[in-house]
Amino acid sequence: MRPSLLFTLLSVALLLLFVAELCIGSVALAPSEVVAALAGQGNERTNLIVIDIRLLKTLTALLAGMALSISGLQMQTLFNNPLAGPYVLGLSSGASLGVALLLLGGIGSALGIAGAALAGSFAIMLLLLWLNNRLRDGMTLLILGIMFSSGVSAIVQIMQFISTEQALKSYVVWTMGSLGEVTRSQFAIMAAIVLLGLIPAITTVKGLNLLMLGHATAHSLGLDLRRTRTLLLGSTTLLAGAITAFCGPIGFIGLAIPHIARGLMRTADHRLLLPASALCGACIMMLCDLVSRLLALPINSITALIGIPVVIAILLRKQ
Amino acid sequence: MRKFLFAALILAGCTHVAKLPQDYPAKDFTNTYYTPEYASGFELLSLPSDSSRLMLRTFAPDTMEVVIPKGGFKRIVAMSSTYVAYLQEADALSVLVGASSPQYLTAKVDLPDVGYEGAMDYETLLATKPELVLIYGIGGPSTIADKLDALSVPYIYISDFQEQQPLGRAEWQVAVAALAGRDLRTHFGQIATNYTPAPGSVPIMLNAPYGGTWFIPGKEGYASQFIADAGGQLRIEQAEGTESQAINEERALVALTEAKVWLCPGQASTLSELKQAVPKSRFTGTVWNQRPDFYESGAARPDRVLAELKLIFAGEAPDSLHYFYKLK
Repeated sequence: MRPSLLFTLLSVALLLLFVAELCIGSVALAPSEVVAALAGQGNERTNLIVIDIRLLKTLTALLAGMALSISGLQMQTLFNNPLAGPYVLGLSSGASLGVALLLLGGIGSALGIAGAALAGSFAIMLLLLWLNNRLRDGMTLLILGIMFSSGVSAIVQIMQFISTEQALKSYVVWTMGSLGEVTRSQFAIMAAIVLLGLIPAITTVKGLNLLMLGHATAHSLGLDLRRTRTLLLGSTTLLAGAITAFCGPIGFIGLAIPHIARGLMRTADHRLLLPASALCGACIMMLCDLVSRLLALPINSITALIGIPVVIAILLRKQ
Repeated sequence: MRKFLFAALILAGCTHVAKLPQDYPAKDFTNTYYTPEYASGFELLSLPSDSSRLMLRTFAPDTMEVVIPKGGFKRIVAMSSTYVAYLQEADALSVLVGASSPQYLTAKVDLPDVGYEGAMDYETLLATKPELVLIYGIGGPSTIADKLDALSVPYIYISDFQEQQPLGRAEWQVAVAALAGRDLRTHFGQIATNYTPAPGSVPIMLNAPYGGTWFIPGKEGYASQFIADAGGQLRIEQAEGTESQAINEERALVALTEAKVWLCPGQASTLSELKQAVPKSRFTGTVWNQRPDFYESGAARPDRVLAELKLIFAGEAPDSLHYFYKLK
């Protein structure tokens, strides 16, 4: 299938899911009521439901799907590893540590959960950027990232072990992920950080294509490896860090969507893969949100249940 | 960039207090109406000119004040089963218009399910048109508080679970009842009178292992105080304070051999299930687990819980009680 046709189909799917997200919910609203609320002409309750609950959650799902998918694509290409994802370098663990310190240790309560998660992710990013300036090899960075991730996870596990059951419950709830708790002001902050992360993501697209040839070849073709790595690390931290901070760690999307995009586009050209991953990520995230909304289940369980069969099907078809 | 990040962190961390429509400002409520004797997380204040007009002030995780309308709130949503129990004690279940997971409540109520932390159904919550949502904050502000603020839904923290004294937790029924326009001061006074600790040192073991480790509450924990007040003594060295501590399997198994009563052994509801969960146990006494209502009306009626525990420890209890049942 031609890329332009695929992009058109994905855009149509995105639009349909967007409309479905606005029209389907626990409270039955006629399409005319939804339209009136969007135009600011509904009653107070309908406006709240459509604008502050459905629209905000839909936009959050869209943003989260796009950001995590792009972040996953960047990491898989940078490390030439199909199992890499946005959380491979310990961003999720850093965020978890921040939240664990807040909820389990009672430290940093002034930051709030989102602030603590963001601070944790950024702390790990600063550490990785510092290491990146001292390491030649990207693989060493990956290994160190995984080590940090494991180390931080171990600390969090110990904190969980010794914490009160009430605090533990709050922490576990955060790890389930949620798109519905994001408020307008939080969304504005999250969107600003994601947009900031998209800038290096777009400017490094050609670099990602060169990295597919291997780091040595990319370097011989004139790619500044250290600079590209720094930009990609910064980009993925901003993209995945912002989403994790406000929505909790959302699994599967960042790992699997790039594979789905590659399977659909049948190309290694990141100028196509990047927007395709963003579109696929947004579509699947909105689909997961719809199911999670209808079944009243945590988003993380739905992303895994819907996504894993899709990836298995694509991988089997490839074989 | 640095300024932006700072602003982002500050914005993300702020805790807001929802404003309620009220005929008197909170600062006018200067008279003490009720100072709890056992609880530490709230107080009720009244107007100097009208002692029937009340304001509830709670202290955890943040200080919050709610001016109670004349006659009380008529549309309340409860995010915890204990809040439902307190309203039931006040015969005020009619003010409930929504609850978290009502299908699991022991109280006979037919209410819309507003979801739970992590999977809140804000649409249903708004559809109930709540005047006040009773929420809990554990270890910090609730994750739903910001969203409730954004939706202009008034709420207040009811931090009864932070009270470690059984009577302290139960005393919150006075606060919750006041929100519904009811007065439970005398009723609670009777509960406190009925709650009569018994001397004794019946050897007790508590809980069951999780991943090979036992968790035992601190000396001042909620369960520990019930056991001590009922004349029991945990056969294991407990930490000071309220926090649970991890106990290794060896110490726990030794304690089991010395115990006469084993309480709350996790998910096990029969002796054979318990044998599978703790195969090395050489326990020879009686095992009792709690029923779901222990976590609901048990919070409001510690006198009844204590009475049942006394019977169990004295070896005089029938096999099935309201809050506990004997494993067979």
